[in-house]
Amino acid sequence: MDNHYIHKVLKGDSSAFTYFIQQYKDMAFTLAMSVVKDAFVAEEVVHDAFLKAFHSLAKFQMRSRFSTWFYRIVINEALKREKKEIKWKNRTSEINEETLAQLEQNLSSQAIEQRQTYICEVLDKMPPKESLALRLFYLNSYNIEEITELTGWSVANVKVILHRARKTFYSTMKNLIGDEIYQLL
Amino acid sequence: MNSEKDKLLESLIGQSELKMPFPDFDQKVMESIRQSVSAEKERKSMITKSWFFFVIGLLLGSAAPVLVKYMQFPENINPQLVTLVIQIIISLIFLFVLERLISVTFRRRKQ
Repeated sequence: MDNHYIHKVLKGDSSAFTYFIQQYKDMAFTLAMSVVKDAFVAEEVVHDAFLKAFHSLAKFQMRSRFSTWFYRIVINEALKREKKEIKWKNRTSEINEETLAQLEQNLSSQAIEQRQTYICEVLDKMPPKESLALRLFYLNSYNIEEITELTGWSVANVKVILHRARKTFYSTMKNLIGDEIYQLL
Repeated sequence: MNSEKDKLLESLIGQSELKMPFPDFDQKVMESIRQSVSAEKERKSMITKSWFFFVIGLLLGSAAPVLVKYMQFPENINPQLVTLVIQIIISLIFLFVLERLISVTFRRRKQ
C-alpha cells in the first residue's frame, strides 16, 4: 500500500501524501515525544520530518520499509532539536521478584487509561535516548540492528542504553507507584 | 527473572503509544507541502526566464562591438579602445551573471 501511494506522489499527486500523514503521525509523535519531552516541540519535529520526507521521496529506494526510512528522519530531527540532555541523577536500584510482583499487582488493579498515564509519565521522566530505545525495542518491535540503523548508534551503545533504560524504567515506575499509594493513604 | 521482567516491560511499553493531540496537524502539513510545491514551481519558472533573457543579452552583447565600427567618434577617441572597453565590461557582466545563474539553477533546496 505504501509503494502505491509513493508512486502516486512521485507522479505529481501531492495530495496522495495525506495517506502517509494519517498512517504514521501517531507513532512519529510518540518517538519525537520520547526525545524532546514537549508536545509542541514534538509536533514541530514531526511536521518538519513529514516535509523532509515529501521532498526526499524520490531518493527512497524501497529497500527498507517506508516506516523505517521515515522514522529515521523523525529521530534525526528530534535528536537535532533536543537542546541538552538531562543528567539522570536518581539512583537506579535492582528490582527483585517481590518488587516486580508488587508492581504487576499495582498496575493491574488500575484502569487502562490510568495505567497508560503512569507509563507515559515514566517515559517522560527518562533521559531521551533511554525512552526512545525502549519504545523502538518494545513498542515498534525493532531489533538491535534496526535500532542502530534508525538512530546511528553503535550496536554496543544500543545494548548499553537498553540495559540502563530497563533499570531506569522500573526504578522510576516503582517510585511513582509508591508515591501514589502513599498519597492515597 | 529476566524474561519475566522483559515480558512485563514489553506489555507496559506496548501501551505507551501516543496520539497526535493536534486535530489540525494533517491540514497544516499539507498546506506547508502545497506552499513549498508552489514556491518550487515559481522558482523554476523564474530560472527559465532568467536563462532566456541571459541568452538575449549575450547575443546583444556580442553584437555591440560589431556595431561600434559603424559609429562615428571624435578624432581624439580611439574606436578600438572603445570596442575593447565594451568587450571587457560585457565579459565581466557575462561571467558574473553566468556564475549567479548556475548557482541558482543547481542550488539544492534548503530544508
